[in-house]
Amino acid sequence: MSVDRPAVEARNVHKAYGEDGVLDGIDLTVAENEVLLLMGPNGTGKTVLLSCLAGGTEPSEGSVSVFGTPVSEDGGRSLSLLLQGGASVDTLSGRETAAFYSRLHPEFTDRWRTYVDDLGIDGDLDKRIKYYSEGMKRKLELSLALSVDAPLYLLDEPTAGVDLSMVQSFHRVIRDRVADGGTVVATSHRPVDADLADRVAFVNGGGVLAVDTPEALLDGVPTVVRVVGQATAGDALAPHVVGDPFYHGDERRGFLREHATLADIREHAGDATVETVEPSYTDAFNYYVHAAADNE
Amino acid sequence: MSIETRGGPPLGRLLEQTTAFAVRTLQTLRRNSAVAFWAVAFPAMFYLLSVSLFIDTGGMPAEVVSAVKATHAVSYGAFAALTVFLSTFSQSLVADVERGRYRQFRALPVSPAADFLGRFAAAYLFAVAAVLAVLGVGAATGAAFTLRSAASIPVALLGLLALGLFAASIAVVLVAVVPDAKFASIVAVSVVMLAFFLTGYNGIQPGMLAGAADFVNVVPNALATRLAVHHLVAAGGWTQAGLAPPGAPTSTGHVALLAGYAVAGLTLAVAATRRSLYGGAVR
Repeated sequence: MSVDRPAVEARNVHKAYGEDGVLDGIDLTVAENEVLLLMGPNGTGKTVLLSCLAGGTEPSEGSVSVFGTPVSEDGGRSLSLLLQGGASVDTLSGRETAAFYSRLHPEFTDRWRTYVDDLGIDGDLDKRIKYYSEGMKRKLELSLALSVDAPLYLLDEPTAGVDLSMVQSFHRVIRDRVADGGTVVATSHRPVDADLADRVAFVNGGGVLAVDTPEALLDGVPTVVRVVGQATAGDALAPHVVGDPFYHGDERRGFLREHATLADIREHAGDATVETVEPSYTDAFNYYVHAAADNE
Repeated sequence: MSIETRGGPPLGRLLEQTTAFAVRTLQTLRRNSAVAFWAVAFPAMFYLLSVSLFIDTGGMPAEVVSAVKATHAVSYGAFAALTVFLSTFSQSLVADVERGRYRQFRALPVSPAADFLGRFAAAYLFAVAAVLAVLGVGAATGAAFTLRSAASIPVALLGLLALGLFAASIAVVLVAVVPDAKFASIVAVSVVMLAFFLTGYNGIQPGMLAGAADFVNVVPNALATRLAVHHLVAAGGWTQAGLAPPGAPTSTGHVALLAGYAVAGLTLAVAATRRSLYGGAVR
């Protein structure tokens, strides 16, 4: 595989179902052997985008290539796709599901046995999937998707429904494929998944809003201000922050406008605590998805 | 990392993928109690009701009664098979369409032909079991089956194969063209019932049809059923048994017609699977 050829290249990808547009001109380039995390609000077409990248859904317009070949011509040989619920049939057991997929893909390996052991469902393989929790289904589906010896893995919310104690185990098995030269594109709502990523892309249906390393994206977030302690004090934020203030637990947060100061906010915040905090990935998500456009 | 496939030759991979779909379909079918009821129990009960309530055997000689029951058992066996090939087959596709699994399959190097052939192989085995169950109920209630020759069972099975390929192709097309996939199953059930009644119980009672009944030796469900009756039931004179006119469909032309249904069904089904399910026309 050429080192200067992107693993994935999507250009001007549109997807509409009848009158309903889901993707509106997505451009995305994924380098070989990187982990790119796609983050965005619910219902903005992340799964559809991933399916387009995999060749599972045909774009209405635009092009997708994997390792320089149009994905429609690749025919799924260079990639492995995980879609939530895509592999699970309620009346089959985990072992039967694995047997099915092992026959479908010529590059399927026995690695799934190691992964189900690592993820703690090796003792549940003979149960029917209708008795699995959502987290157990994700474990099985991830194990099967990563068992394909493909250079590209496209994973739709691999950690959805998984308890926090298991997330690092998920990251570990995904990194195992990256260490072997694989490229990973994953969608997620969970800030903790940013730990896995070389780059994070914030997307909505209209396009990629920002894409960079997690550190650079955090650096690009304006000063984060939080207001704690008085229910109405959040209103004091509004005139001085980019976009709308948002809830972060019980507190209100916002991104300080250029030339605005904490004193401006404290003046109208009464007894509430007003202070700056280091931006989290949740802050970065809120900024790039909901507020950055107002800061241009 | 290599992206060269290490799978065998295309035919080997096709067989492996066909086996995958066949095994998966059999596993899901045999665990579905609704399928077992509608494809096996319902036709058997339908047969029992018919021979108990609708056929007056009072004045018939014993050997005629056993032949009449056998003829009806074959007819209801064909009904069971049609239920499997049309209704059950479409339900199996609809389940995968509605759960979005075709987005997954399209992203795999899967042959659409393997998808159809695997599902069909499972449906065929299931249909054979359903037919045997109805024939077994018939035998238990006095139906007498007589093989016309050593070729009778293979001929009946080939007739069932032709009927199945044709019916399954309709199931695939229904899933492809009916806008909401789940309604395809309802349409499929309606087609089974219409095919059964509009052809005089799959062609075994042409006399109940108002107009000329020659078409029962042409339409696939009646043609396959009447060919099976010819080979499995010693019905004596077909006119006395109510099976004629028209006569038994035993000419080369009738066999060629069944073969044509099989080829057309297979071609249509694979094309519809490729275009609609793997081409992305069905969401």
